[in-house]
Amino acid sequence: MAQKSYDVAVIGAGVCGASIARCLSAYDVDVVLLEKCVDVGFGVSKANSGIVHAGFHHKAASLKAKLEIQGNLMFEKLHYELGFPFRRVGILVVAFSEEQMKTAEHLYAQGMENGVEGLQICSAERVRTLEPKVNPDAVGGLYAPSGGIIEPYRFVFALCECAQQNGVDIRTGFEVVRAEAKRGYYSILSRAGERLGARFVVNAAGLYADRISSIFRGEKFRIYPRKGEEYLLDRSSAAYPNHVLFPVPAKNSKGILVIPTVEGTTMIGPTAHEVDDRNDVSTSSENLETVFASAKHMVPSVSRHDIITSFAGMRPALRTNDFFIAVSRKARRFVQVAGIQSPGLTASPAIGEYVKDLLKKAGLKLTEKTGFRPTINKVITARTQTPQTMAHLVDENPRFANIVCRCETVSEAEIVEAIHKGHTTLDGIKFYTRSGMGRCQGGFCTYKILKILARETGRDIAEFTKRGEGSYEVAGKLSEASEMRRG
Amino acid sequence: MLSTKTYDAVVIGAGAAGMAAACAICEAGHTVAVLDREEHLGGILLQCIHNGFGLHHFKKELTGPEYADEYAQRLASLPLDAFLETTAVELRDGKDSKTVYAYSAQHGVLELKAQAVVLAMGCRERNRGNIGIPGPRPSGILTAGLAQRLLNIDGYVPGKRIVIVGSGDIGLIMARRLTWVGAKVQCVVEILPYPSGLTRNIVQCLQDFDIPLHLSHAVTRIEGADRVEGVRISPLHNGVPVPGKTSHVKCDTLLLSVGLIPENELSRTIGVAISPNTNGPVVDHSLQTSVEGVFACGNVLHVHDLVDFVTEEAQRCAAGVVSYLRAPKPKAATPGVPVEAGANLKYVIPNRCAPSCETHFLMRSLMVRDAAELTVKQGETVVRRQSLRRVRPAEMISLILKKEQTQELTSGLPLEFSIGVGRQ
Amino acid sequence: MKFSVLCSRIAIEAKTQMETICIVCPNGCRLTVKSTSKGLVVTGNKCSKGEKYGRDEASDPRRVVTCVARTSSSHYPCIPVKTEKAVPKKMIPHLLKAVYRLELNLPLKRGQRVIKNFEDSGIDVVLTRSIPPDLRKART
Repeated sequence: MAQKSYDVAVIGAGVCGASIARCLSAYDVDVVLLEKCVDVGFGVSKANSGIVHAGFHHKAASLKAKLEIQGNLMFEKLHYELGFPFRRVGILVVAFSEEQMKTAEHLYAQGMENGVEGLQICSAERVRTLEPKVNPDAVGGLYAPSGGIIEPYRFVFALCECAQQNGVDIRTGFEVVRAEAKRGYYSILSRAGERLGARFVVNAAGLYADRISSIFRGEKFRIYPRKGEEYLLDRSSAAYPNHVLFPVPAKNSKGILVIPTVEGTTMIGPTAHEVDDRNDVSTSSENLETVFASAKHMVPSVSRHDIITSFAGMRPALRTNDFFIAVSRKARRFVQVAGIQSPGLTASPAIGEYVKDLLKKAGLKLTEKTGFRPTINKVITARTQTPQTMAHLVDENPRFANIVCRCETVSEAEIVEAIHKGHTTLDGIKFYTRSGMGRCQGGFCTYKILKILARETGRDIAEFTKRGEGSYEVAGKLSEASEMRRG
Repeated sequence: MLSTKTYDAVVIGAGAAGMAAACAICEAGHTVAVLDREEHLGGILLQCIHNGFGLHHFKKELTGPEYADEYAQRLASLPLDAFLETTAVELRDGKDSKTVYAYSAQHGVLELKAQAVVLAMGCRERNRGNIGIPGPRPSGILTAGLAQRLLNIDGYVPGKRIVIVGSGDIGLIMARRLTWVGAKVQCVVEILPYPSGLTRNIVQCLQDFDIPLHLSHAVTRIEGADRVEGVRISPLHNGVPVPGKTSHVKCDTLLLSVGLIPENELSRTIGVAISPNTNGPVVDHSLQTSVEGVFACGNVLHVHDLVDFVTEEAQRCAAGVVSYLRAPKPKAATPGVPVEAGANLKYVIPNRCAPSCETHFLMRSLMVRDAAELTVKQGETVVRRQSLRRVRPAEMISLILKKEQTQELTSGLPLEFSIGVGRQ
Repeated sequence: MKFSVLCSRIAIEAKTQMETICIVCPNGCRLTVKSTSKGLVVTGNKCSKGEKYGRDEASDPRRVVTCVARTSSSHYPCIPVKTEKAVPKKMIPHLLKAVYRLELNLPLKRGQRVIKNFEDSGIDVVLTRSIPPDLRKART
């Protein structure tokens, strides 16, 4: 039976897999990006805090530090080419005691060693000038103007769209369950029974990197899932800071942050604790208290009143705590990209280039593609319009003026575009357009989105899900078979 | 396409409040535009297909759609402009008039200039994120109002086995509604020791179907990876879950009926001061907000329980607008008397009143009592006492101070309302 | 004031006693209705209206039913309906089924009778909304 065969299969369409796929799409190679969920970015990446780190948190000797610094420098160009929301607002680490100041100074030294530009040690006064909302008990800190904020899911979508535009095939709903090493290639089987071939394979499977490595007979390692709970505050919250605020880091985590998201809401968190079940992304009330107390200590105007939602992400940690990005020594033509926890998103543009080079070393011939298009069409949004600019937009497409999500000012045109690009779950549309992320959390827009989905896809409302598989939205249509239960 | 239009008044929202205000202002001879983001006039009434509306105002027992229709017919016969499927996105104050910017697929960008603006945008529902129920994020968690919309307007049954959080009327109504379409409502969970909804609804929506009402209980955790599979429920003692007494209830849907929040993000764009007690604009006796020429009525001002009161309030608001439109400009600032919610009251509206003006006050109690007394004082002077037969947080209290009763009010000292134990 | 966790209802036909809450006025008196040799006896009421309510609930409980009927339109798939008067509770499941079996064609008018004299009860089911409603479109 003929099966499609590729030069490279990248497993996992999170921020790393998407970045790798885009880098490879600049070359004359056939690439397929495989994603087990119903949409890209639905794994670790969607719960990302959206911070572009500055590069002072990790030792110079680590791969993390190296790729973090390189990655950080690549964001302006990527933002220009791909149009995802990004701003270099700077990171401020705040110390509340002399001992904490010493740690801040150590971070400064580390950052200097790593080659971070513009780092400054700050006095209490400077901290207050930079960030008037910070607790007046702050004694000083470290300011890194090269830190930034980004919308992580829009970043993943943009990377994927660019990759696709340049010939990469993206297969969602493709969960790799088996791989057979044949002569010069792997035969890869999905849970749904689809098969394809690939000469080279990149394991960027996040939480499941250990399983994929085992399927391909690569190195044996284990992913230790570390959960992080975060809380989102209303965009009207008084606590929205000027910079990303960090406490002085603890042993295993960067601490609980107060993050000004690029879209105007404030995020507090994440916690960090190891869990047994890599799928358990539940939030708890004890952790809310921890996060809340920490955030309020940093910025006293953080208020419980402003909380609009909470969620948990899962970090795919390795025991070594560094990235494991290397050509496998056990499986041929297999590149491992595992253990990508913070600063994974920051490092991802550099990871893309690094993995491309590793593939080259492993024998993949790379010739530059003529006609590679690094830029994609930018998404036009209703919320960035003035009444005057909207007036022009409406003449081209009246659907821009039909506001579906009132809280985030998302128009029907954007929802339709998301659907046409293949995002047909409520979460997919939410991450693509922001519809449903606002203060009403989908109370007013859900029924409108379901109707638009039905119209655009020709399917019935009862078929749509929150994020694929068993997450159906409604149980069924009211029909003539409906009746009241007896007894 | 951007079209500029000018009106005496623009009403934002065509639900119960907006429709009544628009009609009254138009009937007083002024030019009016009313906007609504939905396809039809009527707001939330269109999905409230149950009866119990209009007993005071129309002296008839109507369903929500019928109440809405009464006003829609009236609007249709009046020379006002109704812009539907139109969303107001920004309000601006200007030297000579206010500007409302609104977007609609049909009309493009509307730049509506008006002397007066009436805020009637209603409210939104408190959701899981606001109350923070721990657990994963499966599908199947929705607010009662969204479920009501999906079922009554779009014709989809949200789930088969339901747990309802909150014993407010919306949740109770949905308990019956869902049972009538064949779903099994497992129970209603209420954190307070008494139900928030009307007794009539407890009887006709729960008792009729043997649906258990668990008072002083809370949902402590949601379970289910893709779709809700169940919830954990705990009894509360002094508001805290009793350890070791958690029970598990299987369900595929969690319906939240845990409160309403006035929708004032548009009000903030023009700088309207918002009261933390109501989450609605601070208003004077004519229901004018802190921004001159901007008025508010209905659920956007404070959450109502009877639509008849909404209509009355909207009519009072319209009277305030008409007064404003007719008054010579610039208006002399009225000193006003600040109104305070004292003992056992959550809030009192309006937040300011004026001497020698009949003022209709609406307020909510914090206490539950069968015999109580409402006292209105300015300083040590008792302005009014009113015995109340039955006081509940869920039932709004109404009091009119007549012109004679407000004559003696001096500006300076606040007018304090309070509720205490009733005298026999 | 306390409510019991589970409001129990025991059909008067099966047993000799029923408990309920009167809904005629906001007092909400808790009524007990007993079936005795002298007929139904209501206790717990503070007035005669409550007595009548208790009696009716025990012997002939009725409810107004409000629900939606389906239409053949995909744009307006549902239309709300109500029973013009309260129907006997026992009849409600059949009535609902009869409503769900309907598939109405537009246009539809508020007040239109869609089920007449259901099961000889003398009660009709009527529409509570018009579709399409008579809207005032903006003058441009």
